[in-house]
Amino acid sequence: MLMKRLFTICLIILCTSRICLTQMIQKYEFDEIPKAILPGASIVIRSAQKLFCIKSPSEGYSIVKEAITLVNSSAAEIRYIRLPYDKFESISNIKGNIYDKSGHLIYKIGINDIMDLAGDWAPGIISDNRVKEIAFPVRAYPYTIEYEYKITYHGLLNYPELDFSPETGIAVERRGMQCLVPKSMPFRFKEQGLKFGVDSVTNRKYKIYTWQEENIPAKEIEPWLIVNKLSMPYVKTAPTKFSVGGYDGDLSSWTGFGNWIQIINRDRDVPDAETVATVKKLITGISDKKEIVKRLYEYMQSTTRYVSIQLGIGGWQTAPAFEVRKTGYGDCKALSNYMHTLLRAAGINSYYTLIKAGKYENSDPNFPLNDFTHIILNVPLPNDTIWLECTDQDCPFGYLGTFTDNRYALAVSDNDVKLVHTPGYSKNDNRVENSGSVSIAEDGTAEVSMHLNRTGLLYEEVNSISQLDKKNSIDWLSGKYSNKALKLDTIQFSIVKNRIPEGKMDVKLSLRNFANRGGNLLIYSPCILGKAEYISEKSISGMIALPYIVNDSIVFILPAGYSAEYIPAMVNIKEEFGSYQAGCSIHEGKIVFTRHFELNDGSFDKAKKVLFSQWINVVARLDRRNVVLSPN
Amino acid sequence: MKLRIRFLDYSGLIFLLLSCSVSFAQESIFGDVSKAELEMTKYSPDPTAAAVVLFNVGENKYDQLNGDMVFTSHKRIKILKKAGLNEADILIPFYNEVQKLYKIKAGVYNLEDGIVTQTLLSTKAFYNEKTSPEMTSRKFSFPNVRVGSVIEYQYTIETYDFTYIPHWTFQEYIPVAYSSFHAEIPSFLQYNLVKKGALGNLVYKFDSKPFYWPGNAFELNFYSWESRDIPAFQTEPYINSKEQQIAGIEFELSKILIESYSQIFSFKDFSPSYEVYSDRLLDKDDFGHKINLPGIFHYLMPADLDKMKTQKEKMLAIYDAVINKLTWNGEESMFAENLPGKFKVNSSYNSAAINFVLLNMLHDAGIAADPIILSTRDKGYIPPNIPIRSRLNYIVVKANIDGQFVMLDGTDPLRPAGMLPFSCMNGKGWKVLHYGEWTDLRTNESFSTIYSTFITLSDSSFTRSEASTVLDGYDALDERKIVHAIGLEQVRKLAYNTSGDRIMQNWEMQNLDSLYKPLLIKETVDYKNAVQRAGNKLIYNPFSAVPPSENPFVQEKRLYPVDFGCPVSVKYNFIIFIPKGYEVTGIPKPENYSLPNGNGRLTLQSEIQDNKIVISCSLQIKKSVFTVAEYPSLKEFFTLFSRKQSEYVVMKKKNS
Repeated sequence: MLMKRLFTICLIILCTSRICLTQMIQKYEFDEIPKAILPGASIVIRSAQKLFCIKSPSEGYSIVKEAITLVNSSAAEIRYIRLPYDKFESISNIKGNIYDKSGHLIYKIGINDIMDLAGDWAPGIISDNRVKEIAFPVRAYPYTIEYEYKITYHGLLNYPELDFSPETGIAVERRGMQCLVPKSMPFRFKEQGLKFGVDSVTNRKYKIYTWQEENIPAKEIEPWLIVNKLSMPYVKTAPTKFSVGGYDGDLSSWTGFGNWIQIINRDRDVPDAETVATVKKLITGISDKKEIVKRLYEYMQSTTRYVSIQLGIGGWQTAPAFEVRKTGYGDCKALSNYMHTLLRAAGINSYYTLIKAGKYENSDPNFPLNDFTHIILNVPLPNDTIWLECTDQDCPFGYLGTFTDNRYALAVSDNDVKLVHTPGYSKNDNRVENSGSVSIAEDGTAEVSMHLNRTGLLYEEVNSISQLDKKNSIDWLSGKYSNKALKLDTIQFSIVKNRIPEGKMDVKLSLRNFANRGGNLLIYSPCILGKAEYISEKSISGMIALPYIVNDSIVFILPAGYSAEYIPAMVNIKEEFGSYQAGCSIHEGKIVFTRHFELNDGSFDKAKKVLFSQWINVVARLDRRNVVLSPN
Repeated sequence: MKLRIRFLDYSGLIFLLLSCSVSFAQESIFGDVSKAELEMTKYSPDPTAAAVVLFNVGENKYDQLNGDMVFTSHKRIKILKKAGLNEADILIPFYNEVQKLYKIKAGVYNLEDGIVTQTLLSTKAFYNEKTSPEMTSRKFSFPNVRVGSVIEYQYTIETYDFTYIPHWTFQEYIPVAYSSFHAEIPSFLQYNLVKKGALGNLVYKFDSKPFYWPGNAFELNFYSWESRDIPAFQTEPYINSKEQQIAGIEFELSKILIESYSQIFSFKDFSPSYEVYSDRLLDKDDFGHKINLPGIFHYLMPADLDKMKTQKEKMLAIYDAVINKLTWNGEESMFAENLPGKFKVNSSYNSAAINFVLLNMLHDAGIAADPIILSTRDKGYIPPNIPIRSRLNYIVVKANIDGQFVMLDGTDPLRPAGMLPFSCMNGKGWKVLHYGEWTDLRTNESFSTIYSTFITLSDSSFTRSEASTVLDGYDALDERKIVHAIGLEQVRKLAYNTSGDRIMQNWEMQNLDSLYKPLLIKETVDYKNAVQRAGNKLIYNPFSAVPPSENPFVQEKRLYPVDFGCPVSVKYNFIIFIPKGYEVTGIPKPENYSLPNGNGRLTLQSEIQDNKIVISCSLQIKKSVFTVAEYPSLKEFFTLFSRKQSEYVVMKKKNS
């Protein structure tokens, strides 16, 4: 504990006397990396430190200093350090050094090693985001790059967060942060799973919070499972009073933040005369509110598209609805606000909803913080709540996919702010049905006629395949059918756009080498679509990424002159993780394969994960059982 | 750098050439969008297309008044599916200092109640983005675009520096119904016209007329190209260069015949032929002047060089010093930007600098060696007639060791002498000496792997396999690179990373640091479920004991040549001990299949010897490049290989 205090005081002195951090003489000898964290790491973060100093609700700065050892050439890309900035943040005082294996300074970054680039290069994104890129040159491995820079904030909504669960291949020796908060300003933080935790002292001007963690192991990932991000070690900090672009706000409660969102978006959802007229025309004769929402949603989808415009305060503030009407495009804010305005013109209230988008993301309901990255719309009707994804012009009405399902979100409308939770998709919603026939020829070729139906979250894959051109759909099919030479005859899709959407696909194709020789026998695997893979029996904790149910039923027509010598018997195994039934039977000289696989929702501790893996491995083995045909 | 020059003084003398005999008939008038274009729902040559370029018409024209090159482009796109909507987001890049983008005009067309509506973009709709210090992008997004919309835009780019004039691309990631390009260039500006890709129906026309210039008589050259129904570009496995396969025309300046221009551009890199280019290179600071620097790199020289007897020994020692003492900075280049003039090992150098050091050190040791310039695979093949600078990007060293030629490149400490980076396995190179000559880049290297496996089967479905894998050539290099990149410890950890079925009992790697020996991996693996019981029989696939090999050629048709880079050889030897009390009733059938002209061969031999089965299988690809016409036989070859890999051994319980 004493050591920690010393560290705290040491940094304060450095900061208040305005001596730069780099003047501490430092070396990053490779041999000093603790042996415990080195195996398997290509990148070792020797030290990552941030000093965050708040001046006022809208002003402050950070000094960031990091040292990273590139252990071998697979780390090469990390030598490009990208520092994003925009109108509300400026970057200055960039410095950088390279140290060799024994810790000697061998290179100093010069002006030619730093580039000023556009932040969003792609077409369809118009923003004032920019990037300063430091390009460290290559040296003999291992070597250490060290860099330092200052970010000055002109507007402060997001305070720093530290994530202590690095990706696979990255080891962290030390990572820390120090926040200098004026005594008069409230400051909020939340930490979890830390070895040391916060340490705070007060001096004349500031209250100083320090975090310093050491020797952090890399995250482990496993198939089928996800890690609950909110259970990983982290520190989050957030303001109470803040100010951006001249708009003051209060983030100490969700209501406070919701109010700020309303202030910046005020009067941008007023339907103009033309919108009112269009809406009136569209909904004439429809009385059911849900039908009205659907009609307007489909209208919005067919007349708009996604174009990202993030200029100035536009990173937070929506474009006015009339602009979207005129141009037919906008970002997630503008399109959601436009849909909200259309509904308003129809007399239906809806909530502009801020959400952290991405597979398995979530926001912490108990710690108000702006970590939202996307906007959707929440439409409460008397008997139903409808969720609208307004940025995907192909999205089924009422469907939220893996991008936004099952998480907390902040809904805002006309002086009303509420924390909401988006619906998830249960095992019964996520279904796979495969049925079809396979006609086998003596040379092992198979004519396949297959009907696939995927529902719920699993519809997304079929939907994206339906967008592909012929060559790419053949590549996808070929991957599904164990990379065998494949000739596609026909492929047809039908997408049912319900709240639980369905993606159906009918294919006719022929496969070479489907059945294989063993002497005079013909041998094939009847489980042709989606065998479970063997997994390691490593013990880590996690939760099921996606519960679902599969039902396969495939009829095999045998080549003339052959009959079944052996068929896999029907097995039935049920565990707490799910159930599995599969096997073959013979009907009128044809072999019928059926398979039922059900994966339950759940989260496991380490011991249970081992049992889960063993169960999956039994399924994997059973999925690989073959049918043996012999000549009569 | 303001390079703009005006020749207004001469304006009185200019003859205006209004007619041009070679331009193509298709006229494109802005705004002239037909109802048929809007009613179109499918592009029939490719019914799955999300959008199609209806036409793309452009030109590069010398502007005598301003003394610069003027590029114009007019493009019209039809949106057919929602997935095609992003075609309405446009980005036009140009060089900040030497180019100006102007006369930009864009419109969108929809059919509303049977009437064609036009919306023109206002000036506010165009954004300028400073992409990097050299480049600016004009960005815009078309409004009111939906499925069925037609969009079009045209713009002009004026270029003041003749080295940077815009190129033309016929092919895109969506199909193009019609594309044409026209160029009007006076003969005092000589360009190499570099044709990329393989368009079957590209039509080319040429004409020229007298062109008057004070004091000189030149010609005005007219070039025109057009093509129709250009398929969307798609990638395929084993393509040497994706970029070079996209059909287009590049303009590379080779010569300026008017002194006032050539002085301004200080332009000397004329490249009419490889012979002349060779001599010019020999005169260049960062090339020829780096060839003859005796004694400069003595500090890198192996200490006991004098004691070595043979040239081969010396060459190997020098090569070893270079690969271990100099760090490559990852940059591929034909020109040495800086050489390690003094002892400074803590630095890194581009490929040319390292290879010039190697060249000089060989000369110092009395070994004859020459620089070879080439195109790496990502640049496409080396241009056969004219040295095109944008496609020549690398130099290697060819040394003469007692009459035997050895190719050398010192950028990789994992590669033995005599083996070039795989990126250099690209046909021919040009040996740079006075006049110079063509030289073959082929070495004796190939992709080579031999799997030898002893498999002990049991009737409880448990299997033990004791395998040794011998990797040579580029297979060994690839594996050494992985070990170098992630570390031996991590490679070992991954090898032991067991699944529920496969358990690693022992793993070791030999000859990792002996670059001149094949890399050897020995492993003992237990499989829980490899043998399957089917009634009173056991079935087993021997190839389940080796890493699965993917069949890369599942596509029916091939658009581009298959380029393996070098020969490929994979061999398998299995010795399978069968469980007691069982007899063998089926083994993989022998096979002996050759590609036409002996370009490849697949063999399998199998026999039963007492209690064991002996199987050997070999796949040899003997040439590097197969044409599209040869693809069907190559596809059959690999399909057969995949069939042989899937055959089973069948055993039956003996009647006791």
